[in-house]
Amino acid sequence: MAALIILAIIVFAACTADLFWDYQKDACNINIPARLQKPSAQHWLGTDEMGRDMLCRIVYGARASLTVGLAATTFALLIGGALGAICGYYGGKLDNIIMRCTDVLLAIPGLLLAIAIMSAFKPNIFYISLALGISYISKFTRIVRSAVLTVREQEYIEAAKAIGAKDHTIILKHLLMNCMAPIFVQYALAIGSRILSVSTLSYIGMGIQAPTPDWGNMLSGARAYIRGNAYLVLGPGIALLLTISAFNLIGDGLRDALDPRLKK
Amino acid sequence: MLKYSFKRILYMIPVTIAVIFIVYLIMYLTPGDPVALLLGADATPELIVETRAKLGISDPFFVQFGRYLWNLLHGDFGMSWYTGNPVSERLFAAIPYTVKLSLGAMLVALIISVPFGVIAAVKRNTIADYAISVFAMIGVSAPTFWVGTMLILLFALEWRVLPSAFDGTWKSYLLPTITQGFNMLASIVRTQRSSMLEVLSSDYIRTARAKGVSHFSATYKHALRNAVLPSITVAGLDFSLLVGGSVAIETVFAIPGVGRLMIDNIKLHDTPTVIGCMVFVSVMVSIINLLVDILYGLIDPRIKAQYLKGNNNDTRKNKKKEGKPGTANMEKVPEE
Repeated sequence: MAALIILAIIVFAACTADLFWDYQKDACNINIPARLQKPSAQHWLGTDEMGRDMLCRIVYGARASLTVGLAATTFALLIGGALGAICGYYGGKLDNIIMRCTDVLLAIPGLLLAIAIMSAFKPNIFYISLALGISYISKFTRIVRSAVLTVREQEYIEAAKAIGAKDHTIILKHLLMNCMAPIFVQYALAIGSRILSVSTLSYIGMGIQAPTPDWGNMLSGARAYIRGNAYLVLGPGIALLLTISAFNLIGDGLRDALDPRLKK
Repeated sequence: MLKYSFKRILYMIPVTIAVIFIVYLIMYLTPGDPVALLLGADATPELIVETRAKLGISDPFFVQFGRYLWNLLHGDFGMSWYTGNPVSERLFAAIPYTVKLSLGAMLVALIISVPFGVIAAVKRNTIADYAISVFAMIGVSAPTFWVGTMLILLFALEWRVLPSAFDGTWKSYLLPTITQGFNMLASIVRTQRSSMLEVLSSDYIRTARAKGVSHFSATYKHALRNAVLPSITVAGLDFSLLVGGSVAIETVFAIPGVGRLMIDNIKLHDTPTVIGCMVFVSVMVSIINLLVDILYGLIDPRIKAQYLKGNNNDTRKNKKKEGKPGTANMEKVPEE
């Protein structure tokens, strides 16, 4: 519940940021005279090395992180889920080929694969989501496949086949609908993991580029100024920690709720 | 067991070739002309043609890939476009740092998380258990580069007890290994806790207690020995994630490891070095996973017995099927 409240606050703040700040003026424009100001009544979390309001950038940073996290995970789920469902339902050679391909993708560490893909594209939100989504497809393929395999032999699937239901109807309406639990759990955990990855990419200079606010590039920009200005790294770091923890807790909570054995 | 190991090793060959192909293809598609970068704007057309031929980048993709694979089989990772030195030389200079960092992190994680997991299981549903869960949750959720920055801020800049940047001394390994180890905590603590809970409720522990064995001895001598194996397995599997995820840590602490070599050379468009790093890390990950699988079978007599009976073919899968509630069956959030 706490995780849901934290997440609701972050999402609400990200959605209503335009009511309080002017994106271009407050979050992007450089204002050197106001640089490195400590937290005050005017700037609740201080200003960064370019004189921009930290709170404003953290709130706008949530937009970028949440957008990439959701887009990358949804992309991975759609492609990985479709492949997993096909593998689990049809089996045979097709299953073997797809699973060997996922083995290959799993052998490359996800972040390194995303970095390699990003080196071939312009670092914008679309390509970052694509790169982070591609590096997660194989995980969803495996999870959906194993979930489908457990449901495939159920009698109601056999009954659906017997009454002449088409394959895509069986997969979409009967198989996937009955193995949503592990998919939901993994979806929540994957969003947290993708947000962590996008911030890492931005931190090493391969993700969202300044002046667009992102928690990773804010931490990267603050590196040279942390002596005596700890507030520069506290704000974005805590925002990241809370957001990722919220998704992880929601994932864990869903897992416990959907599989009571794990409560032990 | 030997047959299974042999099969796994054989299976690794096509997977490795496919990994190299994917990495090579991605880097091949990366825009930017290395010749223009190497020679600068005032290079003559003749020199450009000559350099392109020398680097072999005018050839079709499959010719280049075939040549790269053939050279790789002979231990030749190619020449760096940026420094002109062999990539293998640069790579082998960076590998010890990454390996030391990863091993240190694994050690830190095991030293902290196994006792924490045991305490969480023994003091189940108490404040200690909840506090350890929160600690582990922070470990898995906090970005390593942020934790590293905070540790630098405290230990190097405020208290001045440890160096902020890497200088090759053991002291400069402390902060990066603690940062990396902290990130690994969660999975091991959870595994240790759930396997300990399972062992503590088993018949032989009850028998030991009934025979008059003290609570301490039953818990720490009998139960711990049997419950520590899954944690070691998880640590082994996480080791591959550590090697892959060292990029951020090496950037924060300026460690000249494989991750940093890769990032620096992506920015310099030094494709042979980037491919070399990616191939090295991916092959390492495959080898570590293979070793964990094989070692698991060798260490655990129950798994070995299953092989002798010839009724199975995947150690990790079987161990998981034995029904560990919690992490053994959980899909891990990858730390990358």
